[in-house]
Amino acid sequence: MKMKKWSSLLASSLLTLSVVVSGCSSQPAAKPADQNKPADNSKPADNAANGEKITLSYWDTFSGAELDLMTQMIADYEKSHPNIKIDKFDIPFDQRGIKIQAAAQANDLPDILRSDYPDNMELTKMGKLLDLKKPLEDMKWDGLTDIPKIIWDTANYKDNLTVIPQDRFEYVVYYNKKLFADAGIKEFPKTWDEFIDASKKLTKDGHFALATRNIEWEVLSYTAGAKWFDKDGNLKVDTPEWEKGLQLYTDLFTKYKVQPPATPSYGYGEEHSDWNSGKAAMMISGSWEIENTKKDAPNIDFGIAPLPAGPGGKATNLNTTPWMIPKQSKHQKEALDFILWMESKENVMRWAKTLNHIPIRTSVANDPYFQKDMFKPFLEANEIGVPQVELIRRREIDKAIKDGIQAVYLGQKTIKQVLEEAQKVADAVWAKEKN
Amino acid sequence: MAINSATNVEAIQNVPKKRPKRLLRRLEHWWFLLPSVLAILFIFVYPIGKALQMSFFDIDVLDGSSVFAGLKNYQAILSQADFKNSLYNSAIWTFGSVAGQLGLGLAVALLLNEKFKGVKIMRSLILIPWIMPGLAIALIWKFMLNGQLGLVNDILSKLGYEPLNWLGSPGLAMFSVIMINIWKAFPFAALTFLAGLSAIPKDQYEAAHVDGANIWQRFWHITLPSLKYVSVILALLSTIWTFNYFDIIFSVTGGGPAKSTEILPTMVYRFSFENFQYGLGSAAAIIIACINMVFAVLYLRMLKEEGGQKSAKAK
Repeated sequence: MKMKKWSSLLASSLLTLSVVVSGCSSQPAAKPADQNKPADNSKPADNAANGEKITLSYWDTFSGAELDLMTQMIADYEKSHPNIKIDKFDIPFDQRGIKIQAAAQANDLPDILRSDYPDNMELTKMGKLLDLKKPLEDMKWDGLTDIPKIIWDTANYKDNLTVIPQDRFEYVVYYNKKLFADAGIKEFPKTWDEFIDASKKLTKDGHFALATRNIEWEVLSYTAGAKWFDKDGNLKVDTPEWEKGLQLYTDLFTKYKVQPPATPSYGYGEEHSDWNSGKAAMMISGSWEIENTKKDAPNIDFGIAPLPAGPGGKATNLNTTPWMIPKQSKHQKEALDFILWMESKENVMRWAKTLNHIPIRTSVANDPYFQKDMFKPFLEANEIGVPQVELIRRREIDKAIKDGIQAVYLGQKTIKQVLEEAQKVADAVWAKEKN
Repeated sequence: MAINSATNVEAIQNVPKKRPKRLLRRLEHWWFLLPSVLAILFIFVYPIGKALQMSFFDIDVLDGSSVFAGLKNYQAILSQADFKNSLYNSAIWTFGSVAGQLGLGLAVALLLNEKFKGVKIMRSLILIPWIMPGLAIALIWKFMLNGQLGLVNDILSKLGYEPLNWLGSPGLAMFSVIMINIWKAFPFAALTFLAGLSAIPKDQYEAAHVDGANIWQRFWHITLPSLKYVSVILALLSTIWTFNYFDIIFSVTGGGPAKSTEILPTMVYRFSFENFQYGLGSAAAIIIACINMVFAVLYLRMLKEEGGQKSAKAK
């Protein structure tokens, strides 16, 4: 009887503990190292040199054709580095902020991270990323000069160098050539007025001019001359330029009615459904859409054009996809080696040519392949591109504006009211960040 | 008389060991409970305690600061228009969903309580929405309700009606998510009502039929009163579950358009995981827990009342 009792107790304890342990288990990621240990880049890669197999954990936050190519390139790297294995873990793009922050809080970041703005700035500010300035300068890496300074500046937070730019992207307009021809539009509109006229002609027979996902207001506002800071260096969104940009953005739906009726609820999926199905004649997006559209909608004959010029002239954004190595990684040297291999001239050429992206390196971008007409709208960003604003709490301002835009779509607010409310959020953000 | 050591040993051996044995027996019960208590501590008590603690701090993960803020987070939440909006939406979402689940569930239970060919298969098939993951249901319905390419608008167009902006207009968006939730959750209500219906003595219906009662009278005077406690318990449980249910609204509308479907759980998510304002998010979560406590207390009272009535009947 006593044996039975104790064996029941043991069984119930084991069962309960197993539930607790399995509930507490985490995603495959790097084992956290001592955060207080200074990063040591001068030590040789003992494990690799000794032939011991090293596994690098790598989180990628992008999708589509890029991921396919990345998988192939990782396989090639592993072939040439037989003692290195790279475990790639794909995070849905819209979940990356939560996943990366949670991992950062838990000191559970991977060895290598490829993500997007503002993750790079947040992690730099939190002190989670390896300082790459010294190692890159010590090895006299040619990418320091071959990658344009504007790209380095847009990728890194303030004077830090914690990020190596992997790829670059700038927003252009993708347009359906057939729908344009059917509407009798011979040339892509160059100004806002021409854009509105063309949009009206394109909206007919169940088709709409433009599908959006509530992020393009930023680049349109840049063409209105909008800036994030005023001449005194204060964060300012409640300006006539931002108002003009956002007004055009919302007028396309509310006043000119050239967008689908469900636009207020649109996200990435809905926008791409309309574009891929040929319902929408235009989409504002980055270079990743070239191969994605060829893959998902091979029947669409599309063209690429720069954003129409607004009262502020021609403009677009300029962003990069950053490579990051968390400080806690136990294989910093191996992680850096992989990144520098990916950013070699040969592999940058492979990446850019396969995906039809503008190469991150100037020497590669000068190749005759990238002088084709289709690349010109992207290359213009070198002159007219607005780098990412250095605000780590930018998400809060974006959310205030996005929610406000939805309210304008539904007739609940005016753009002026939206910007007044967004300015309050911006003031609170700036109060924390200006120091 | 000299003390005989052998006698003393015998005497000592013969002393009954009552106290230590009784104490050990009492402690044995606690040993059996200990694993469950530890699990509850880790899974419930610690997270709730931690959230309560964080709710009194202004936490900034980006610069690593954590400053004691007292009740500032609670004041900020309660005074925000967003909170009032979310509370209102939560009420609409919860009561609309629960009323629909119970109504549809009762109707389906009444149907499945009849004898017809295939009724057993039907009783299994209606479980499908209940067992499907909430996220899968949300994504499927999101595609079906797509304004441009969705199946529902396609059917409406073919029937000669104007397509509707299911997810892009505030009223319709809330209606849509409520309908999706009803579709997902009605099977549980149906099966619970079915169990309740099967416990109603058939002779009551026979007697009523003999007395000339029609279907509606039998339903109103026999069925509904017999299902009273089942209905109330089901309503309370569904209210608690629905009030906290996050998956469908987050996946289908994200709380939009223009926060017209933002409920309290999605508001907590926004504060905590989009803005990284853990202090505010924790305060909002504690407020939600307090609201849930009201439902929980009602539920326990109902259980107690039902238990009291059953024992009175048994006597």
